Amino acid sequence: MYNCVYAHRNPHGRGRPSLDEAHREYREIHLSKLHKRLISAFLIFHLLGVLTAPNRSSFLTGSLAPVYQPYLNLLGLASTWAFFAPEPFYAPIHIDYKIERKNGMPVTARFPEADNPYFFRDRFNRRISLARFVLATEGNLKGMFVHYLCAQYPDLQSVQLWSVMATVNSLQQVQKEGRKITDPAELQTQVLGTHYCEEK
Amino acid sequence: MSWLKTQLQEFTAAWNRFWFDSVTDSTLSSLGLFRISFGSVMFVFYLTRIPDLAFFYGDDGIMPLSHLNSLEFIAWHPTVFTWLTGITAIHVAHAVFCCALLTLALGLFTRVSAITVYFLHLMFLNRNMSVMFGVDTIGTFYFLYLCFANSGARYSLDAKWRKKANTRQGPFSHIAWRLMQLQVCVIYAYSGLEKLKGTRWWDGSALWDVLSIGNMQRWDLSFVAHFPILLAGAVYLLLLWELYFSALVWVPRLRLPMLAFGVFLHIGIFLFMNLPSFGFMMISMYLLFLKGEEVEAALASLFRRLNFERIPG
Repeated sequence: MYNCVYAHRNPHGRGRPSLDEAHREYREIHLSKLHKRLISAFLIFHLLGVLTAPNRSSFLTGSLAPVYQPYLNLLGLASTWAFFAPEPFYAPIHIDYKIERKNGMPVTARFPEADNPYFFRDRFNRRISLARFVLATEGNLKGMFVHYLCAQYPDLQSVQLWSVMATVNSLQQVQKEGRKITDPAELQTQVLGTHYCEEK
Repeated sequence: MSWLKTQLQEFTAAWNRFWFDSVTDSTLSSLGLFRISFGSVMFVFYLTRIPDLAFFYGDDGIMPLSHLNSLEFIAWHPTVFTWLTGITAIHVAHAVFCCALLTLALGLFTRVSAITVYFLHLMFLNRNMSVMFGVDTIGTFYFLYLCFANSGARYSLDAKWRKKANTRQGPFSHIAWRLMQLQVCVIYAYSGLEKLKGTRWWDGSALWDVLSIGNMQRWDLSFVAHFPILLAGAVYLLLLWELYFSALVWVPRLRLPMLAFGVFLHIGIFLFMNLPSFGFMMISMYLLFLKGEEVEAALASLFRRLNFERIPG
């Protein structure tokens, strides 16, 4: 399909500075024009998908979705890149729960824990993502979290749930009122109701 | 019309130069070192998932199949773990995944390892998307491209032990390397542009907010409240760097300063925000922008100091 020969300079160099200028030993690859065109067409297709997919709300991405959704989803490339954006702060959010059991004492706990209890931080990061996902919809809360607790506690009678979100002190509060950045300014609690296990 | 024709010709020439006519074997050194560092970071990162396998991926875990199948996400996100549901099978698959990551990092059966890693990585991601975060999603791209890159040609056990190892940079490996470079640019460009939508990035107070996120704090940094100008300066510097990285990293004189700033930034994120895997993964990607000669010189110097006669592999 291709042959390789050594060339001692960039055959298409136009004197423009580029990352490759210092690479003096380019190897020219003789792909046929047809092969180059086919590969180029695929690269344009691939790059258009990778470049537009992160902008999910755009008309362009929406219009291209019928073509790109299967391709990018199958390859696992449909990702967004918005680290700490558009707003940098996301309040730490937890699920408080109280389990009433048929045989035994009630269990009260928080998920994920307030402070990272794991040696490897990544285990905690996954739980933070998980808590946000669970709290995103009522379906996730019931289908995931309540279902999990039911599997863990066979004698579970009911579980009461709350979401707890910590807001933080502003720069001015720390500057003028002597508060600490590490202290939560306020804990906002929201009742998520009492849930029961589905009968098996 | 002739102006348009000239522009089109120039663009085609530049396109061909970038994708087809700038192949050099020295790139294999950058790819080899990238494979080692990226593979090692990901190996450690995914080892930490072992204690949570049943919780994350078991049917009695947090994402039961009944719920997974009800989610819109499952369309075009197939996973073998919808029928391979036993916890033993999940543990075995994860063990194979971790072993393949290790052999990828070592450069043993490199191509097979890369394909195995990519496939199993996708299967685990698709089984429970709720526990994934940046390292997983970025990793997917690089696992995929490593399937096509000849990353085992240098600094690998393949190169040391296998006589028929391919020691030349081929066209598909070159294209994969280019795609890996471009992906770093896409990530930073989007990350910067998304930040521009946020009011807190505009008014320079974003860094305070980031440092305030309770479950990411490592130390009490309350004293920084007395230096708001530094916080704002750092925010604007970070924004400028992210927005222009994808253009300036290709300018020879600015390439190393741009990468050096990135290393500094990610070490800062690691220290102050407790995100080690993310930082080390991003830093390992910068190796893709180093010239082969630079990698070889740096490694030769390192091994001279360690009293090795030559670079292994």
